[in-house]
Amino acid sequence: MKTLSKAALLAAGLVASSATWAVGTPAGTIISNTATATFDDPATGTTGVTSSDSADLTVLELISVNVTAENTTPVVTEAGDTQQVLTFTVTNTGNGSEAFNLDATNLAGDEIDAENIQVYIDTNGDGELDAGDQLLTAGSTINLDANASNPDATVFVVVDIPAAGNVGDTADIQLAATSNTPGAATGTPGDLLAGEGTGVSDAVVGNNVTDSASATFTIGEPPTEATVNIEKTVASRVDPFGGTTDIPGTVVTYQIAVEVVGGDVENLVITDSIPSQMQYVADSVTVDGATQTDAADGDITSVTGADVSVNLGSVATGTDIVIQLKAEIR
Amino acid sequence: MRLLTTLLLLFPFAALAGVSLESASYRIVAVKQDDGSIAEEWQTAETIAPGDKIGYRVTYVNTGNEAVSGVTINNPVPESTVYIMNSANGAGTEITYTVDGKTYGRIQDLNVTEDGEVRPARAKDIEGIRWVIPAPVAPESQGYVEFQVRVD
Repeated sequence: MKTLSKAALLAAGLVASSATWAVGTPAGTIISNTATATFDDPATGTTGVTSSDSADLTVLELISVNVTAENTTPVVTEAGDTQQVLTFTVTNTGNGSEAFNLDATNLAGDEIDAENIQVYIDTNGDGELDAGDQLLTAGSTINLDANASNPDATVFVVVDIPAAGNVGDTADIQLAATSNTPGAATGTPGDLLAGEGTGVSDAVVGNNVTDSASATFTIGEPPTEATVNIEKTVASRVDPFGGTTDIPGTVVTYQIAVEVVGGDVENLVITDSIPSQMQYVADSVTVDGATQTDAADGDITSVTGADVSVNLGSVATGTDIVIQLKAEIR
Repeated sequence: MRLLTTLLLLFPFAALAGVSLESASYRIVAVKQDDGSIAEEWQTAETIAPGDKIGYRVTYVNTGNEAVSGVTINNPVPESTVYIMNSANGAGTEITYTVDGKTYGRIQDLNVTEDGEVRPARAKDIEGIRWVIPAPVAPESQGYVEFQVRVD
């Protein structure tokens, strides 16, 4: 090998030969250099022009990969849960088409180890683990082309949480991606892998021929069941004489206290049927003091005969709602 | 077709007149020396990797019988590479740069407009380098200029 001697000394920090480049010049690209000179031509008295031949260098395939964990905070799960998912992104940070081995493992230093670890590729690209996604079986690889539409892939690590886990226990899972090119995994950055390039004959080992990232499951408190507590009381009664006796003609104001605890609920509908001995007072329903009409219209109340219906819809846990309605003793 | 090829091959010789140019490319490798220091070596190569440095040496030769004056070498920065600041050199030459392929100046005098804002030129803006050799080049004498780029 011919070498031009250069006296230039470098600080050690400047030595790093190939930095990580998100998008490198594609493998196989030919980098050409041509110089041109102009000069005063003594023979003709005009300006002469001359060009060099082009000096060409072919760009090798650089093998480089990046793994990023998308779950940056622990994923809360429960002891005994199955098919729990961590999401990673694997990116070919080289400049060619490259196959990578993916390996998901339990890390040491945590309380529990996940079981039945599987790796899925988000084949349909929707960011969710679903039936269309490909299970990466042992020994198979994922192919990522840095120069095409698939330089990266979303990868799911799917595990079962052991039933013996306690609240607060964590399980750290690592996903490692390593080039499948022969010699790459054991190479050092800068090593030439003759005949192993894609798009060009040779490949070169980059600074990140393998990369890994980890994410964590943690066992949280078991969720409580959402409960709706309903309490119906008589708020007041007014008899025809201004008193509070229960006689025909007395108007009774009922109060229905609704309390949602332990979780959010949806489509909550409160119904009340007025007993036949009583006559519902038209348009007497209020919800948290707001007047309602009986018709099935813009408000949440509708009354059909003796049946009162209040559609509260989605109600967050911890919410109290007070419904009042009036009926007259026949 | 064969005739055309022959003509194209002949043409450069006709244009040689008094000066010829040769461009050579090298892969720049940091090599640890025996004394533990690290020096850059310019190694001949046919391949290069993203992130690598390329060194270019352009050699000029006066192939005629008379001294030639006004020798000016222009070298566009190759596609897929970025010029490495302060790497251009050439003994006894005046070096200027261009960010538009037309006007040349010192780097600190060049500006580019980006997103409507004018800012000083940076390495990635440099499109070409020019070396002006002020002294006449004597017959059969030669010299060289150099610059370095980094592969995207």
